[in-house]
Amino acid sequence: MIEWITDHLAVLMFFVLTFIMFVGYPVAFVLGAIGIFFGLLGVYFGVFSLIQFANLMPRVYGTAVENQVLVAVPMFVFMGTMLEKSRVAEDLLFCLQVLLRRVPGGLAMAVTILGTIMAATTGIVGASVIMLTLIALPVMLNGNYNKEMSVGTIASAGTLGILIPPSIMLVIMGDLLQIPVGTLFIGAVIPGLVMSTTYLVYIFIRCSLNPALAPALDASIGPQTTAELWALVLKSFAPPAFLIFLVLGSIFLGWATPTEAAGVGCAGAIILALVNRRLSLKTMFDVIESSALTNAMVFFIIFGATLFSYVFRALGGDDVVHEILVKMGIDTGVEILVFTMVLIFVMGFFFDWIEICLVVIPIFGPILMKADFGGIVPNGQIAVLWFAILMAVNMQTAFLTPPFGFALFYMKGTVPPSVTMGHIYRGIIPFVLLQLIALGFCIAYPQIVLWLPKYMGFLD
Amino acid sequence: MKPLLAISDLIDLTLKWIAYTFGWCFLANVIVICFDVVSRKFGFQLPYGWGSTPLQELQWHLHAVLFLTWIGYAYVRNAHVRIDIVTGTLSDRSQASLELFGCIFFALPYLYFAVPYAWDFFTVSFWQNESSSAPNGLSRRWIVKGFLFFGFLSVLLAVISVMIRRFVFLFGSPDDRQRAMPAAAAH
Repeated sequence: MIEWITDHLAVLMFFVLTFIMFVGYPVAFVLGAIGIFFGLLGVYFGVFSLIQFANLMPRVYGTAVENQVLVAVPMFVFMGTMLEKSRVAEDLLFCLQVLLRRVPGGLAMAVTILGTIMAATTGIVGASVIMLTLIALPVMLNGNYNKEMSVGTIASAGTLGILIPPSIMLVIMGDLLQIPVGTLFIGAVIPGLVMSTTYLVYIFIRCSLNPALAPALDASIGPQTTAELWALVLKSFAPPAFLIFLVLGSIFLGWATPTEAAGVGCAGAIILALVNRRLSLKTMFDVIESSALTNAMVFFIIFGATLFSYVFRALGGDDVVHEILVKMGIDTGVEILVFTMVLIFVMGFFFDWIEICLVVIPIFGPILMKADFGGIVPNGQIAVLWFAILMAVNMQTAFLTPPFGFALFYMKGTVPPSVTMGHIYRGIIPFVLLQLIALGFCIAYPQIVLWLPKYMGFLD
Repeated sequence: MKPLLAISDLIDLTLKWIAYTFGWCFLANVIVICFDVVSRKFGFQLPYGWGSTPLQELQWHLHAVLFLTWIGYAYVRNAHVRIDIVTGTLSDRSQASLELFGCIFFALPYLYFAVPYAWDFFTVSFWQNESSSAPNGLSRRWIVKGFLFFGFLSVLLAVISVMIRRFVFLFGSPDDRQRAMPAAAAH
C-alpha cells in the first residue's frame, strides 16, 4: 500500500487537485498549496527533498516574470478592454445591425460578427460572455427576437474569442508548448473562421425558414441615405476592424512579434477612443483597473500552476501517467490524443481555460510531443500545433455544453429574469452540435489546421 | 472587533494605492513597446546604450511590476477565479467559513513557503548586485526580484485582511458584520 502511494503520488496529486478545486477557494492558491503539500508528502516518503523547494522561486520567476512572450497577455487584455469601455464595441454592433437589417436574422448575425471581431477582449470566457450579453441581449430582446435564438447566439459568439486570434489563451498555450505564438495564431485562423461562418449560415437558414424568430429591424432606425450609411461604416466599423487586422497582419507577415503587435494595438485603441471623444481620465482608470485585475488573476494562477507542475514532475508524474496510459492500452499518438480530448471536454464543464491549459498541458504535452501518430500528422511540433488547436475548439465546445458548460452559468448571472436556464439550454444545443461537427472535421482533416501555417511558411 | 476591522481597512487601502500607482505601467509599457518598434524600423537608437536589448528587458520588467503589485489587491477585490458551481449556492455564513478554511489550509501554507523563499531570492540577487546576462542589458536585476517578494508579501497582507473580514462577519456584532462585508462586496 505505502509503496503504491509512493509510486503514484503524482497521480493522486492530480485527483486531489481536481477534487479540492470544487471547494470554491481561488484556484491560484489551491494549485500552490497542493504543490507544497505533495512536496512535503514526497519528503515524508523519501521521493522528494526539502532542498528542492528552493528551486521553486527561480522556476516561478523564469516562467512568469522573465518572459518576453507573456508581455503580450496584459497588452491584448488592455487593448480589448479599451475597445469595450470606450464603447467602440457598441458602435460596432449598431453599425453591423444597420448593415444587416435586410438579412434574415441580421441582428443575430451582427452579434456573431461582433464576437469574431472583438475576440481580442477575451481574457476569461466568463468576462467576454458577460460583456456580449450586456451589450447585445437588451437590443435583441427589444427587437422581439426569440429568446432561445438570442442566448444561443450570444453564448456561442462570446466563447469564439478563446479560439480566434489574438487570443491570450493561444499566447499562454504557445508559451507552455514551446510553439511560436504567431504559428498558433495562424493555425487558429481557419478553424475560427469556419466556426463563425457555420454559425452565420445556421442563423441565416434558421431565420429564413422561420422569420418569426428574428423580426427585421424597423426601417426608421439608423441612417436613411447611402451617404449617411457610409459615414456610419467609416466611423464605427472601419477603425476597430482596421486596428485588429493591422495587429494580426503584422504578426502574420512577420513584421512584429505578438508582444510588439499587442503594444502597438493598445496605442491604436487609445487613439481610437480619443478620436471618438470617449477617452476621459475615468475611462482610463476603468480600463487600467479592469485589465490589471484580469492580468493579475492570470499570472497568479501561472505562479500556482508552475509550482504544481514542478512538484508533479519531481514526483515522477510524467512516467507514471505514461505507464498508466500504457496499462489502459492507450499508447499510440491518436489514442493518447482522444483520451486527452475526452479529459479536457469533461474538465471544460467546470473549469476555465486557464486551469485546463496550465494543468493538462504540462502533464500531457511532453507525452504527445514524443508520441507516434502513425503518419496521420508528422510527429513532434506539427502534431503539437494540431493538438493545441483541437484543444481550443474542444474547450470552446465544452464551455457551451449543457447542463454544466460554465459559459452558460455566467450568462444566467447576467440575463434578466424573463430568460430562464431552459431558454439558455434549448438555445445553445444547435450551436453545440455545430461545434461538435467542426471539432470532428478538425480531427478527421488535420489540414484544416495545418494548411495555412504551412502555406505562409510558418512550418517546414 | 473594531480595531481588527481598522487593520483590514488599512491593508486594503495600502494595497489599493500601491496597485493604482503602478497601474500606469500599462501606459509606460505601451510607450516603451511603440518606441522600440519604431526605433528599430527606422534604425535609430537612444544615446547611452539604450538600444533594443534594454528596451525589451524593460518591457518585461514593467509587465512584472504591473502584475506583482496587483496580485494581492486582486484577492481583496475577489478577482481571482474560483470554481464556485458547488459552493456558490451556500449561505453567506457557510461561504465565509469556507473562505476562512481556505485561507488557513491553502493560502497560508503556500505563502509560508513562498514568502521566505522570495526574500532569499531577492537578497541573494541584491548582495551580488545582479545584472542582466546580456552585455548591454539592464543593471540592477534585484529591483524586479524585490517586486517578486513584494508580490507575495502583498498576497499575505490581502489574505490577512480577508481573514479578518470573514472572522468579523462570522463572530462580530450585527453592526460590525455589516462593516466587514457590505452586502454588495460579499461576492
